[in-house]
Amino acid sequence: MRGIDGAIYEIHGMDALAARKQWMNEVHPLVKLLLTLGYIVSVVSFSRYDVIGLTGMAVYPLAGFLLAELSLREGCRRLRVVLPIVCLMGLPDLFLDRQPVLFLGLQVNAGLFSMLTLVEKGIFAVFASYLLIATTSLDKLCYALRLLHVPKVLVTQFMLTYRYITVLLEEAERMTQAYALRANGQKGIRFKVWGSLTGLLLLRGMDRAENVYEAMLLRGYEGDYGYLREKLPFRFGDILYFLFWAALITAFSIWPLLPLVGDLIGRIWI
Amino acid sequence: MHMADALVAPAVAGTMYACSAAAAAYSIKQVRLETDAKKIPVMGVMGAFVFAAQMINFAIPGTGSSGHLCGGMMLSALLGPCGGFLTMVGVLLIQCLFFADGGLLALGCNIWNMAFYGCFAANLLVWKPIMRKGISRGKIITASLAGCILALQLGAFSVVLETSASGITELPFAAFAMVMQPIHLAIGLVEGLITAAVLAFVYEARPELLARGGERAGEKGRFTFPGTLAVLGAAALVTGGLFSLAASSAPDGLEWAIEKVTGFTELEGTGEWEQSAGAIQELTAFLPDYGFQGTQSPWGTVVSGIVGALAVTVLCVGVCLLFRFFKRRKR
Amino acid sequence: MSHIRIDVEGLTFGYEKGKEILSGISFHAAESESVGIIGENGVGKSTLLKLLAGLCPEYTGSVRIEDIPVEKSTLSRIRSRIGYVFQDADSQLFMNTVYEDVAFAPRNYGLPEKEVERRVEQALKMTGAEHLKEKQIYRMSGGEKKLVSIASVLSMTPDILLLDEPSGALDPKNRRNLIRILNGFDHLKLIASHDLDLILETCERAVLLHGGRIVKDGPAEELLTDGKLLEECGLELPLCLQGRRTYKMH
Repeated sequence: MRGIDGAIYEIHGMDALAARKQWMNEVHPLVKLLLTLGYIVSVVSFSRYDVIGLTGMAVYPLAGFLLAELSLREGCRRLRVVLPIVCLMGLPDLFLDRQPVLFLGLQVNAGLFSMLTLVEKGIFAVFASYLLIATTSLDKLCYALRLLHVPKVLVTQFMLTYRYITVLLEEAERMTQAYALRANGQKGIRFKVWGSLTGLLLLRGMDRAENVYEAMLLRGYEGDYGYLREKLPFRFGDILYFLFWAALITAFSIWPLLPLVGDLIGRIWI
Repeated sequence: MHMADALVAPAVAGTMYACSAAAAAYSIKQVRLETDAKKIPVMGVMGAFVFAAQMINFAIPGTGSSGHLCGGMMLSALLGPCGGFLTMVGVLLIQCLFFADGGLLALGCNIWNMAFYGCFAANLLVWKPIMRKGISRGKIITASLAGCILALQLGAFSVVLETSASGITELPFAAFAMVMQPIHLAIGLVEGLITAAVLAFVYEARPELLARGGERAGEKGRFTFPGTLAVLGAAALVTGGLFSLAASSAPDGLEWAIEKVTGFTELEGTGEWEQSAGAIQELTAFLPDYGFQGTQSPWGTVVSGIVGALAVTVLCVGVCLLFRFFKRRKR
Repeated sequence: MSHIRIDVEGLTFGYEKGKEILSGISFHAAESESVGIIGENGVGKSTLLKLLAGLCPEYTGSVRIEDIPVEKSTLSRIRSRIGYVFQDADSQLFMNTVYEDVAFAPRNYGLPEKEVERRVEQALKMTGAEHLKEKQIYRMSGGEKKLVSIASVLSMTPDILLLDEPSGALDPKNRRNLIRILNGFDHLKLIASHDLDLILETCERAVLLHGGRIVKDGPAEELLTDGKLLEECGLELPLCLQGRRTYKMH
């Protein structure tokens, strides 16, 4: 389990990435959000045994990581939550799906392929989401959500939560550190202080909420929360970017492009 | 309990998105922000609190492991079911985006499994009935325990349902449920204890926070018994729908593939292959529509695929690097 | 005497019934004055500021801002003229980036986006925080947050500035900067603080609170050099008058 400071570090890192001056970061947030969702839907729609076809879908995250200059290692680190679960869910297939299949001259269980596709789906979906959040700041993402008519209340609350996560995480960290320094090496918070430690954090949170509310009132807040300074227009490049990827993702999910390319090479070669 | 994108089929994800959206729309209507503008900052900061509190490890006495706080149950006790639900939606969205905890596509499922059951089921079926005649320390502990166990049992069961309906795993429905439910009983117990401890502390320090939970929020349309029944009925309907989806889509994958292969062999007329190889099928059979328009591939589909993958990778990397190069030069 | 902006008469207030924090407070403050409100911890300095901004509406007595009584119905009119800087900058800065936060108030008052932008630029310039414009708030230091929280109220061009413990947690350089900014604001300002050195450097008048009452109201220089009175009220002479700094002067 990652620690509190790990979470703070993660948020800061993500924000630094999204704040870079990079052309991928300038692409319209709605375009990226829709592409991400569309991509994930196409990925999970692949048949359970279509390992080769699904592998072709790696094009989007691969190109995205390269173009946005993201670290593949960082992307892989984000798999640590999802991958174990997905592997665990795929494992029974290996034993229960016993349909024998001939693969490069070897006889294997069909379950192997269904497990592989499951793992691939897990990886691709995480990579695609990472690509989205690492190139899109939260403000812009919220703007895209508003364009999709997600209610203002929800978006506002979302932004406030995000704003105060680091503040409260830091508070929680200070409290647990203060506890650990006097706890003589024990791990975790002891039963007796479960309530008081977390409860105090909660009360501080409530007090803070009160102050935030007052600060908002004093600056003219009356239930409306304006954000994002200007309208983000769709530029020609955004549309081009969208069309290009939409076409490529569709092509890879309809046609077996990888074997076709391999076949073509084979023909030219031989 | 966060579900990953890989574990849900688009149809299931869509259904659950719709359910969660309905619950969110209802909540937004109930919270009535016009009359209680304060709710927004409170919800925002409390969302951050739940996030931070879930990071704290609580040592479970007698074991070496640690437990975490159940956000939904606690939020709904403080903010009422609707406020709590909306707050949890925010928390789940941030967990999904920034920590890859649960996926974007599976978000609808996760909201339903954790936020809906944690806030609505636990609050309306357990917390409110128990607290109807006033609050006490003992009642808080009972309600937190029962509420968390209920929320986690329902949540775990719907994870099983959603996964099965998505036709993701060969694991039989019953076996999966047999694994999930007891594990989540234990987790629910621990989360219940932690939540009880926190709420009991709050009750001692600032009883008014719990006393006005929900009521203050202007949630005037407080649930009546028929209302609760209606919600549960709707949930049952959805569950039933998922269940039937599970039943219909489970055999889909393999049978479809076999059907494909029989069609294939008849067309090509390689009957002897079928006999000699017995039940063994070539991987080609599992690839949809990979008949190269009648012409013979120089090397098998698998090799074609691998060569193709290599070629596409090289092409993709090359093009991207070139693109990057020119983009940089332009700057 | 110039235009009276704050007029408090017989103000009594307590969060709980029977436990009054302030009782029978009366004072006036006029345009372009700068008033320090001093007193020990928990004496009600912050509460007094909150009352002026209408954050605690259930008081007895009379509080008038620009001749408008502070009541539920007048709150939005009053608040549009008051800039209130919180003690904890994190509570005040609730948006994600500096620009968004400083633009919050002007936008809420319905100004066109061009004007909002001008106001933001101006406020950031006044506080010397232009370089922070695009920064994420939680990535900033305590001193930077303080500057921005002041800018976030200056952008609504208030007639009255209320500051609650503005110098808390600031290092000497940031503190010096703060004093410069405060002295550059030429409308009425009220500064609640137990940092008496700060009061001495920014205010010409001081109000001493003790036991829920105003013990003394007069020129800051006079009040803050009265060691005996300060001690009676749980305070000490400003550090610069305690003789500790003399060795530094050579």
